[in-house]
This record gives sequence, C-alpha cells and structure tokens, in this order.
Amino acid sequence: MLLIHCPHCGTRPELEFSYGGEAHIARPADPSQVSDDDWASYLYLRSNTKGVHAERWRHVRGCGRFFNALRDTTTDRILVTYKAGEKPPGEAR
Amino acid sequence: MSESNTAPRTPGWLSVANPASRFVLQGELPALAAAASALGFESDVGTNEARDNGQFALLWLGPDERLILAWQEGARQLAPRIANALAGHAHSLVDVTHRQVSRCVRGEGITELLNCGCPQDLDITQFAVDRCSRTLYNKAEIVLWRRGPNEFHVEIWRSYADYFERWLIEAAQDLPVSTL
Repeated sequence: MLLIHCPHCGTRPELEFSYGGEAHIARPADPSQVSDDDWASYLYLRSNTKGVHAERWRHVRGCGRFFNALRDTTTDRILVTYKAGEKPPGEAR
Repeated sequence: MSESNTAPRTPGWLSVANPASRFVLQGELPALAAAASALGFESDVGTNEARDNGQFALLWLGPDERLILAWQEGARQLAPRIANALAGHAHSLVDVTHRQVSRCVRGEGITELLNCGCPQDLDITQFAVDRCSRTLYNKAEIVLWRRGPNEFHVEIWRSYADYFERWLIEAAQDLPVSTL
C-alpha cells in the first residue's frame, strides 16, 4: 500500500485519501468577462504531465483537509506534500 | 432477515460505551481553545491527541475540528454553555449525539484484531495511549481512540455499527481475543 504524508497528520495509508485533480488552477476572477473558449479551457483542459505533476489530495478519512502533492506520474512516487495555498517547494516565484 | 442472519452473541471484549452527548466543533484555534477551557481543559489538544477529564473528552479530528464527548451531561444543557464560551468567535457547533454510537473494545490481542480492518499502524510505539484518529475500518469510517495498551474507544456512525461488530466478531475467529 502507498503511504502518503499528510502535512497535518503525518504519514498515513493511501486508503484514507482521495485524489483531487491537478493543483494550482486559478479560477478566473471575473467569469462573466472570460470568453467561452477560455472558460472551457479553465473547466476541462489539464496538462496531463508525464513526469512531476502538482496535484490535489484530500485526507478525507482523516483530518479532512485538502493539500497538494508533487507526484512523478511515471513512477507513482510522491516526492513531497505541502499545505493548500503554499507554493510548490523548490519553485522560486 | 432470515434466522441465520442474526448477529452472533456479543463477545466479552466488545461493549457499548455511549456518552450522554456528542458535539463536533469547527473553528479557528482561538475558538477551539476557548471551548477547551470552557470544558475544564488546561489547553486545546494537539495533533491526533485525545484528553479525558472525567466529565468530558476532547478529541482532535483535524486542525480546525474537534469531537467533544460529554459522559454525563445531555446536549440540551451543554450546547448553550459551549456556545456562550464561543461568543465572538466564528465557529460551528453541531450536535451529533444521535449520528453515531460508541463501542469499547478491550482485551489481549485487540490491536491485531482492529488491524484486520484498519490500515493504520496501531502498534503501541506508533499509536500511543490517548492518541486518536479518524480512519477506516474496512469500508466504514470510524474515530479510533486508544484508551490503554489493550483498550480502544471507537466512534462509528449508527448505521455502520452492525457491520463493524460483525466484521470484528468474524475476524476474532482467526485472531482470538482474551477478555481482560
């Protein structure tokens, strides 16, 4: 079983978590000003990365919090997890 | 339901441990600390920690979420008292007394038995006394609280209680538990 490190609770078994899709996708501030194409791309288009992917997870059968993880999609190894709202570690922005 | 489907006789290591009332409190840390002191605790509980002062038990469920068990006091008396202490703090206080039921499981080998359905490492070195956690028992969500080396308090939603008990009793056929 995969072990996932929840930033709030510590390392827990995969069964307690649920996957939440790609992370760091900002909702347009004023949806009424966005063109249909841009809105469709916000809703549906994802990067489908091969390699290191930033994604959301939720510790649904634990503390209930959402957090983010960097996972390598080729090896399924979770490199690091960090709290929701934080920048991905190692990213200078 | 047919005769053969009735639940097996309750074993000695499994008992009912219902408190008088239960609440789930959600809020920021100052609100949680105010509630803790209103219930007679010196401070709020830490991550995955549970405390019992004889009257109340306070269990950490998440960074902004606590489960309050009142052993004697009913919800009608307790709710206004906590709400008073929380005046001025944004919070949500929900009476979940009738949503879930409590079971006490106690006996030599109970850790191994719970591990038949719970994926967390329940060894005493990892899951110490007075550690608590929301987790899973097979498909059912439970709140697990270790009260002693061989004793756990389990909170489980009412409709899953039968499922949980039957699983335990079935598992105990391979992993006998000796009642303490």
